[in-house]
Amino acid sequence: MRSSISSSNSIERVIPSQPWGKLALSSLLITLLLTFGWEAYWRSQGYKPTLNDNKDLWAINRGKVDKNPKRTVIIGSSRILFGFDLDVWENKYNETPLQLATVGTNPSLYLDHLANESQFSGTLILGITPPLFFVPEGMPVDLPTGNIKHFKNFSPAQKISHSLGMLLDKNLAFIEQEDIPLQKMLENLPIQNRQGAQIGPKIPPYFMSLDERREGNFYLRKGFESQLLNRIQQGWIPLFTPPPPPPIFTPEQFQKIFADHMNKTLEKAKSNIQKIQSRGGKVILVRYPSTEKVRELENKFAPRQAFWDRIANETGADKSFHFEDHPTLSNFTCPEWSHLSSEDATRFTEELIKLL
Amino acid sequence: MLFNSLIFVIFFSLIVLLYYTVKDWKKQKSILLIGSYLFYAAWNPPFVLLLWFSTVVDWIAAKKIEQSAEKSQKKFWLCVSLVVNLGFLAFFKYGNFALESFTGLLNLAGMSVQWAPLDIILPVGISFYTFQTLSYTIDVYRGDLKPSKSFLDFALYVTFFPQLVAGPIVRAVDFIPQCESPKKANTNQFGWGLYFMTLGLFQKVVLADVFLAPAADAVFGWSKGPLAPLDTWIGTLAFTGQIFFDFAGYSTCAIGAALCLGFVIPDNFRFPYAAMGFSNFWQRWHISLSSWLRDYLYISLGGNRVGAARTAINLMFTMLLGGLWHGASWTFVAWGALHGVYLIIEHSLKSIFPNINMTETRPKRIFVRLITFFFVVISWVFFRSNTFEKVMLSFLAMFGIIKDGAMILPTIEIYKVVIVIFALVMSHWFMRENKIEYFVEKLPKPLVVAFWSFMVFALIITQGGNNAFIYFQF
Repeated sequence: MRSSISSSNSIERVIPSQPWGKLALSSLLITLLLTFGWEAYWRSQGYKPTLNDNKDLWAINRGKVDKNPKRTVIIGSSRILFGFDLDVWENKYNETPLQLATVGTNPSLYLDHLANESQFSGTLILGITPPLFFVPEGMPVDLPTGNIKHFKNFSPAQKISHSLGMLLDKNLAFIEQEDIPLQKMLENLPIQNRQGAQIGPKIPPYFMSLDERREGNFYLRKGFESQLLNRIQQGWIPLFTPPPPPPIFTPEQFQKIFADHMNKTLEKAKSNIQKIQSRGGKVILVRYPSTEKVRELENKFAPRQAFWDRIANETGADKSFHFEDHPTLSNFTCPEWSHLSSEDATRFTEELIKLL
Repeated sequence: MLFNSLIFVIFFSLIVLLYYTVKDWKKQKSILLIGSYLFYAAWNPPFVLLLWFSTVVDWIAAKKIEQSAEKSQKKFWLCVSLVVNLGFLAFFKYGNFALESFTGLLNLAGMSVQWAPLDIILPVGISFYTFQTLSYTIDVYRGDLKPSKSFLDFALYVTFFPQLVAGPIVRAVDFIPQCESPKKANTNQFGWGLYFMTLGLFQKVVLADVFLAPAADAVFGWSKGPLAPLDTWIGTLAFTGQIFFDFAGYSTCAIGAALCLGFVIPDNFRFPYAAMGFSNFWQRWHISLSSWLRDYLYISLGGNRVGAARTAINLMFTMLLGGLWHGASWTFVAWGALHGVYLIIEHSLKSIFPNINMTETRPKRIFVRLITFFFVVISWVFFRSNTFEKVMLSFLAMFGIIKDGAMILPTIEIYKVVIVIFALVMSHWFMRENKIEYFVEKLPKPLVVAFWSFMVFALIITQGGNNAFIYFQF
């Protein structure tokens, strides 16, 4: 054979002389033992099996909008994901809403997607966390952008893999996305960052159980409640405190840039809401409760008048509900200052429906 | 279908079960062929049509080349194959790039022209199977290969799922003869194949995606001005490791999967970061592509038998096209050009100083390896950056011209990159003249089991993110 027509001088492949059958079985046995041990350990730490909130699950639920564009759809961030009881709505209206809210995201991207890249014409319940609505970059934007892109390119292989993955999610506690994956364990190592490093605050872990409809319920592992609450609460403080303006701008310049950005965001939201309304759809805005330190920070850095009131008044939504305006919606305590407990989510949804 | 997905585990198990249950060799090959089409269709079913079309065209073209008595007729059928295969590649991969470059030229000439990107989806692995099928017709045209007598064998050669979407680019002469007699992996071959698949997945999922990708993505995804020198170097080193583990991981999986089915496909990497010189680097990195470019482009242009100046031009042209093969962007072309420059300088130095042996002593060898590694690392900046502005900012930071850029990497990411890259380079240096097979053969059995279990367990606790292999986009 001429070497020029073979990519390799030798197509032979040497098999190392080891008893590969026995080695494979021994390795399998050890791996199984390690995996069972791993599972047992995490269960002893209070973890329980639940579905993971990944792009596949979002894409599956998003796909249902196109099958029935008149369905009720929920978008927003974690507050409405944890705080909306789908069963309560289903009992009242005989229809399960599609839960598309995603933790830590800017929902205006989902609004834009539904208005312009679907024929959605149902009721849209839009959970508003005022600071997130105007965040221009980073995770609040990356995550919905990634989900939408994934939905558009969702391949048959990914759909089947997702179905198989759910079987594992439902049965194994260590298949978890907040604390246990190797990359998260490495990220959580207590190693100090360099002084002056521009590293954003860590997003607190979202401890939730999730079902196939993406109904999320906030839960704390038994025996670790106060430790976890403290960890999450401490995470909110830097996250709800905006970073200083970039040094290249004076405070006045930065204020002007942000004001322009807010105006553009509101105009775009208005135009998107109008598109949905022109197809016969309705848009309802809901401001979920927050309490204590988080509420204080929101009042300081995203005051109602400058944020919520403008969103409610300038976007042309059909209805809007701020928890503070309704005694039945304001009588809640968020255990970690930012989200409702699953029991309160049921009660809140019941009260919200009464107001609709 | 990704190797690092649950669906692949099920798919591969079913294929192996069916393949070894059926006793008729033709039926076994049919199972592999149908499985390969399913494997490909799992991404985007309509693109299987492209694969079929390409297969039929090259099958007919090769037959016609063989049957034609006239040179002109042979040439005609070769051109049919080239036009169809390269036409598909040009349309799907380079359509937008060509339009963008053309409008850019018009704008440079003072004409104000806008362009709207065409909505073209790139068929996965098109660059790989295009080159693979082209090598078949070119070999037949050159008289180096007889056309395959069996359409089934040829279709399986084009479509064989382990290497279909990201190589290695297998030559017909290496694969089609294997289809002539029944193939069955014995227990040892099967076990070694599984070990290889595990090793490949470990490289991709754990080392590339968990340890290196976060730093590389953070640094090359940063668009708010310059970064600090340390961050830029760490990001570049991270990508140096990520691209190796990602691509070599895929090739290793492909070799392992083929072995489990009794087939042998060639190595694609031989410890490239231990290369001494750039010719040597390309004998160790993506071997199936570099040998393809050498045999079908560089040698066709005259290779190194046409004088120093033409040799330099041939080298540069080959490397420019090699760069463009990787992606429809000028940064990839620049990456290819840089490697072209490296090779030309190396050739020139060798002809100016023919008596200097840079590998005779250990310090010299270490020096040459370090120099080669350094310049290869530098070249990855072009490969990974989306714009030339990013390239420029990266170099300004790396060489200390900008010192006060942003520090964006958490310390843990710096540790991860330093540890893995040090281990990677040391392992390549240690294994430079060795083969992994001979190394594993000498290991005590408990150590093999411990390492194998460790790799599988690491894959399990990583939980996977179903991230696509980088080379799928090429």
